[in-house]
Amino acid sequence: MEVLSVIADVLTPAHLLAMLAGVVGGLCIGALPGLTSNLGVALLLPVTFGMDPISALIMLTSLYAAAIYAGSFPAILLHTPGTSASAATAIDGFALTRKGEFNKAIRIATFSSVCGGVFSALMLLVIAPPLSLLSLKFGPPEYFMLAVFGLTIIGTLASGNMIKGLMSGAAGLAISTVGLDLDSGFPRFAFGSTDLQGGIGFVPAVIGLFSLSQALLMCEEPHRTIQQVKVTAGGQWRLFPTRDEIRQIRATVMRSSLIGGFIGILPGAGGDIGSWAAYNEAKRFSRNDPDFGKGSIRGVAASESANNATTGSAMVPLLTLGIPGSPTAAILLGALIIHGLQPGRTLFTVHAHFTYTVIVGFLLANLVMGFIGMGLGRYMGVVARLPNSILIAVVVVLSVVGAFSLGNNMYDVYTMMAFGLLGYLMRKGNFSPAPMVLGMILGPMAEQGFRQSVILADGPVVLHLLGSPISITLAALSLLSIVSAGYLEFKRTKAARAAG
Amino acid sequence: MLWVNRITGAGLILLAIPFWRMAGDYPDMAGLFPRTMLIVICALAAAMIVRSFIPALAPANEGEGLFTRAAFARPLAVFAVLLVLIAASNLIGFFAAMIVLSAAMVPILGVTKWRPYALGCLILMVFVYVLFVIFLNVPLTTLRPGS
Amino acid sequence: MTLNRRVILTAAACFAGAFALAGGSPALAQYPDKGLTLIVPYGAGGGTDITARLLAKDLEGVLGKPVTVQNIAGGGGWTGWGTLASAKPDGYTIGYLNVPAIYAGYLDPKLGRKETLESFTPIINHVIDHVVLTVKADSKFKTLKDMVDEAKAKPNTVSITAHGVGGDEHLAILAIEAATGAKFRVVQNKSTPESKSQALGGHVQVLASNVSEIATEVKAGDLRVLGVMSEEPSGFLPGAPTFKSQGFNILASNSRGIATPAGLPKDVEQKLVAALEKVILSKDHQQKAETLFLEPRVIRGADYAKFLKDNEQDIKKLMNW
Repeated sequence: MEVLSVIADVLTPAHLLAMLAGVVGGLCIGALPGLTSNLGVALLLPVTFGMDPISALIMLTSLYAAAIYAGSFPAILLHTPGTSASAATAIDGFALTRKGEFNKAIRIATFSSVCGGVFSALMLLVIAPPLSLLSLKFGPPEYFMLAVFGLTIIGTLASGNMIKGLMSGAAGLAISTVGLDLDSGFPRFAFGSTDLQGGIGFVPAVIGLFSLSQALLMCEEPHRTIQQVKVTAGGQWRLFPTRDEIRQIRATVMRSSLIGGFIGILPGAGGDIGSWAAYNEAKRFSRNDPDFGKGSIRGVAASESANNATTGSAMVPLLTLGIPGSPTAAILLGALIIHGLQPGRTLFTVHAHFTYTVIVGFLLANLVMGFIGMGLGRYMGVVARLPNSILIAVVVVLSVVGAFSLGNNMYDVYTMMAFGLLGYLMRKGNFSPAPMVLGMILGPMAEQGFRQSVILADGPVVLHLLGSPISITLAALSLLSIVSAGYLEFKRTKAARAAG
Repeated sequence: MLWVNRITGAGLILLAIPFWRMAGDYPDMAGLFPRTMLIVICALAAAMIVRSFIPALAPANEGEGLFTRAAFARPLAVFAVLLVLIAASNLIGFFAAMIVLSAAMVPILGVTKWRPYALGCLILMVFVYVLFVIFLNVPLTTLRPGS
Repeated sequence: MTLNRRVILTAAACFAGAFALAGGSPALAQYPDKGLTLIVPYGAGGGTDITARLLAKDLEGVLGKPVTVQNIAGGGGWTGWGTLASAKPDGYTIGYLNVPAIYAGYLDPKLGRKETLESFTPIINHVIDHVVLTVKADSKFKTLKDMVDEAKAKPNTVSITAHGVGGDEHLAILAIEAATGAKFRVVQNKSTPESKSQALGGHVQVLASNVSEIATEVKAGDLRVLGVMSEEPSGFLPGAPTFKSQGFNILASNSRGIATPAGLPKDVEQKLVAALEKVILSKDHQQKAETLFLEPRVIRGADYAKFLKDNEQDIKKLMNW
């Protein structure tokens, strides 16, 4: 009976309308570089003050999911991730667009996002309380080991040009140390500038490395179009992926949803890390796919299912413990409290009707967003056939506006521009920007985890770092990852030498 | 392209020196992580230089895009114009700067079909104004004289 | 429907603002004759932002003019404070001052901001949020004294969280160390949620945070209060002991108030103080603040300036700046 009343409640017009508004708002916010899901939820929050709590939370969570999903549109279309969580999507998605398979990429991205989102909603619905205990098991040593494991991803990302890839990653780690040191309050590499004391913004850097650098690359051939071939047979629009496509991505989507779902429950690790980790695993498992990194639907599926899987799972510790699993979830925490709901076990007992209605609403929103997204996607492919000159203007202006609107300051705009030029030069010199982005995300996590472990360790630090089954497992995985990346690289160079 | 690798590698090693010295002033463990990264970067840079002298190991040139002089001129010109206009946007206003930018790109990119280009830019400006200034309240308009 | 109306209102307000700016300022008409901008020195969705949006909404009602929240983030808050300090002192640009976050920027010689407290006209304090020490429900520390005794007997063993050097929790820990001779292992985190998860997971023994950040967990029984660092027991933590009631005379809090650039005309200042006081003291606003576990605390004009100055002296002493 309870189940029926929850479903009936979700389907009331007010809640459906709120969901629709959230989805549409999220699609717009997510599709524009620089407008993050945080900003969307924060802007919508005051609007919900007058609404009933269920509508309000359905609207905000729908916006969150839709924004993370919509980040894939510009990533696929223009190599311009709409949110930083879609940066990994740009690699294979954009390559597909160039090959005339934009619609295929969008269809895979949508299908995977919906799967990831629904998976995380089910996680939230069924096993939230026990999962939240897992997130508490992560202390400083575990975060350090997680960061190390994340960094081994660089080895796989960089395959083909290991030295340059590793350099790009190390530079990203070094860049992440700029700003006030958390532990001592000492300004590192700030040169007396207040702006630099605040650190180098991650989102402006991603906009620069991916979007502006792409615009500059397009300047080389202003009269061409992104898509230089005819739309292929597989690139025609259709609502659902073909049976063959589903067969190809089935395993990837399942694995990536699990990875994203797991990463999402950890506070401090969100869609960015989730999508890169899943992309890396997909690459490892697709070593027979020659297209990977050059337009494989598996790459798109991995990144998109993982980043949407983090949306629901970021709410697991939020609802059960009051600890947000991502910055956006932190704003949702404010929303819950403003509407008079205390996160904690009571949400699943006393307020069960509220909680389950919101979760079911969130689940439904993931489906709604897929259909609306596919509807919009049908008309978006035309962008790939516009002359580069117009697209350059669009990407440059949106990059500037996006960077500015993050914090309404010019410093972020200059950061974006510096990284745009750097990204352009790097791409000309065959340094991939992806490891740098990864280094910037994981650097603070690694450093903070390590230094906190040193502070907390009673004996030798190494023993403290490997003091729990979780950190030992992560250390073993890192080792495995390094060895397998090294082995693959060795085989690749050997094969290349034999061939050349 | 091998000389690019050599110059980049040498440049990075030279760049690392002042940063290394700066990190020496940092209290407690604040200098540890940056210094570790600088060592890693220098080691990789050295490896890159060494590798460029061993023909068998030298990687093929795989950078993106074209490698003619004209191909480099356009992006760098666009970037330079953008930088000047962003710096000037405090004086002339954001929208004026962006309109000048789109006009300046016409000769740089050699746009011939200017009608669709102008229409595209116009739609873009209106879109940015409506969405960012009106709906999202981003103070782009404060970047102009008199406010 | 609420959405549409709200959007249209905001749009209308923007147009009104744009026209007011374009038309040049009419010779000192009745203040306020146009919309106000409220600068929040942090990103959208944070604690300060949420309180600011509550305040802005109610202030619109009292002034009859739109109040637009503008997040100017970066530089640990100083990008926003710098913008506020250099704005025109005409009462149309107001902003939040966060105590003690604002002090490090200009007191710490390593950071060296030019602006100081003198760059602002303090208007009124809005909310105060006291520091509280809590432990996991099954902790061996039953009282504050247990914890302090252990930290004295075995220095550098008891671990405690904080967020940011010179932040309110860090200052509270330094004050406890100075007053009792105890020595803690301080674990700095980027945000309190991280600290909370470390405390709930048993990785760190004591959680230092603000009352608003842990009231829920204390009610649910996951965390136990060792002591609140306020004069009076906190209304949000019924039955919880204060530091004072356990013989430790130490206070610590985080507070947020409104200021304008220095040089605000006296008559405008009075109008602003009156309007803000009316908003903050209204029953409706107090209730809204309470749902966020924030205590509205009105400290007006000159008193607020003195409050800021006193805090500045305390932090200078504790941090050796």
